[in-house]
Amino acid sequence: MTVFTSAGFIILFVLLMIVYFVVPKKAQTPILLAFSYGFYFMVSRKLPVYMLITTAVTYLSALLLQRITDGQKTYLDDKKAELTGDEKKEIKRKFEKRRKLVLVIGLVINFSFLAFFKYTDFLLDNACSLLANLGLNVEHQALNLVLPLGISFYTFQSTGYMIDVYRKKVAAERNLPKLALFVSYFPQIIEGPIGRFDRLASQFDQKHSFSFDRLKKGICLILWGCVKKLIIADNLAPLVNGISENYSQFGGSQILIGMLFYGIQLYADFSGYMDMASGYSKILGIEIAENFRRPYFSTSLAEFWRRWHISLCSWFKDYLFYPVFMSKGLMKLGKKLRAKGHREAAKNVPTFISMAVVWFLTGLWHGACWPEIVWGFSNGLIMIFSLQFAKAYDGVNKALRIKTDSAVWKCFRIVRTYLLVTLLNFICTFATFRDSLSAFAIMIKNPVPAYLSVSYLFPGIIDRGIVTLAVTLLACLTLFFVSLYEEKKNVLLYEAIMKKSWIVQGLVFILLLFFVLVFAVGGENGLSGGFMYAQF
Amino acid sequence: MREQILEILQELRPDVDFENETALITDGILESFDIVALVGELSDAFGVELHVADLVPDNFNSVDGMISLIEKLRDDE
Repeated sequence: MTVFTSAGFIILFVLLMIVYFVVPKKAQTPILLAFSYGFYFMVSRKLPVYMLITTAVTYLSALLLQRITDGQKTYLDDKKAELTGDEKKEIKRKFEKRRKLVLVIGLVINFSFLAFFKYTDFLLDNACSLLANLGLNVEHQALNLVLPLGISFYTFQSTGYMIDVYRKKVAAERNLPKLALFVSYFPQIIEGPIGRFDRLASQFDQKHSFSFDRLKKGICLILWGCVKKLIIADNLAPLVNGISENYSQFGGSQILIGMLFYGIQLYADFSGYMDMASGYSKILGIEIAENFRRPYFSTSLAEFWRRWHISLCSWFKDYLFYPVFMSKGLMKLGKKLRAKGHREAAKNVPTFISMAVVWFLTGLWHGACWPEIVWGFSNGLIMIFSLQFAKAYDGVNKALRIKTDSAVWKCFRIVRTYLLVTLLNFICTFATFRDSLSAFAIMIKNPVPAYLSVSYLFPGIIDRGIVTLAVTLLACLTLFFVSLYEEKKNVLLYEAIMKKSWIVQGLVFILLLFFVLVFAVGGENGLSGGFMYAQF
Repeated sequence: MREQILEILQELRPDVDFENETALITDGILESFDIVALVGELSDAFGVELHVADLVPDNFNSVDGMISLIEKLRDDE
């Protein structure tokens, strides 16, 4: 059973609600902090030692950065009349150097924990392979380090805050419990979203009173998250896992169906968690960052990555893509190319180099193995290719007289993007590259179903019974139509329902509760596993 | 300066009404690829050095925001 749907957590959350809404404002942050640390212990069964160190490093680094920034301002204000322009520049340069040093030390310490736990075995494996190729046989035993819960998410969130203080976007936080809560806030500790300090922490300052409207919306989101996670994702898991683990025993059409459903499973699992996390947080009066905006309605891969795992992609954009692009070397390169009249290259070359770095690291973030790195790099390459040949595509469309603003063309692009995402998933869903290629070859050779029977088309799910299969497919269709409605109207369906009469609201609530209790919690999925993105 | 910036923007994205848009970033009209292209063009055209910290929505949401940014950068130098 997932943590957000366990009876123990729900009871504790109700108790938290009672205490949280009764105590005065200044006690709300410490209570949320205590609950978040308790939650961390409850889920991971380990003390949050590394999270505490990250919090301390982040807190101290930010304060030091702020002190240097304030010191520079005071110094320059005091000596304003005495200093020449060049002297002022020199002083600014000196203070800047100190600030950079503090930031780099803070970043190195915080990222070193993540690097140690996540990448040590991968680095040792590759170093040994490299030495073996050179004729030196060195053996090492895998350390099999267990990744501390949520380390990727809270490390990225904390470092984002430190960089924001360095860039003077936000002031350093002096209130330690508030900063500690920002790092450890329980709804987002397992799978994110990666929050920004200015948007998340500012909400901790406000007094949150009980609101029936928020409670209704929160419960509706939690139940909808349960439908996605416990009915769709967990029921699709045996189908997808069975095929990815034993692909050679399946036909080509079964592999195709499994891979097409894998995209749905991943989305239902990850966005289901987000809905539950948002729902619990909403009840407490705190809005967490948006992480999905109906990504499978994207018309290109670049758009897909603006709508899928939004908080991670925007982190990479703000804290990696822009800094790499605006690094001295690439800015100089762009300038040189512009001076020589290569305007297109001046725009594209630095952008493409920055994208290659970002997508290499995005792959590495998703997993310490080569298939994930190749998957990330392939995503980047396809986007670079699209940018480079954008004008050529337009030319082809015009030559073929394609109505690019028609609904049919848009549908074609949406389907094409989904197929592209599915194709990329081949790289990292199977155990090795060789398995990925073999599975792909089987699929290509024999894509037509050998039999049109339910057990052939839906292996794995059918073992749970025809009713489970029917409910899963019905839930998938519901997810599609809900998403289609939201996409067309540009509203969230649960928000729209909350504006309807209490009869409509009650019916939706009862329907959701019925499905979750009968087909998820009460069914076989009561013993379902954790969230797919929790391993990061 | 306004005309020069508008010329750069029109060349970059002919489909956008830059005269009247005031939420180019907030509404997602300009994407990260547009921003980086714009950074290079503005640096060259006005001889200013932009930094990562300057890439905030307020500075790029409208032509007025971009004018203020360039003026601020010129003052700092």
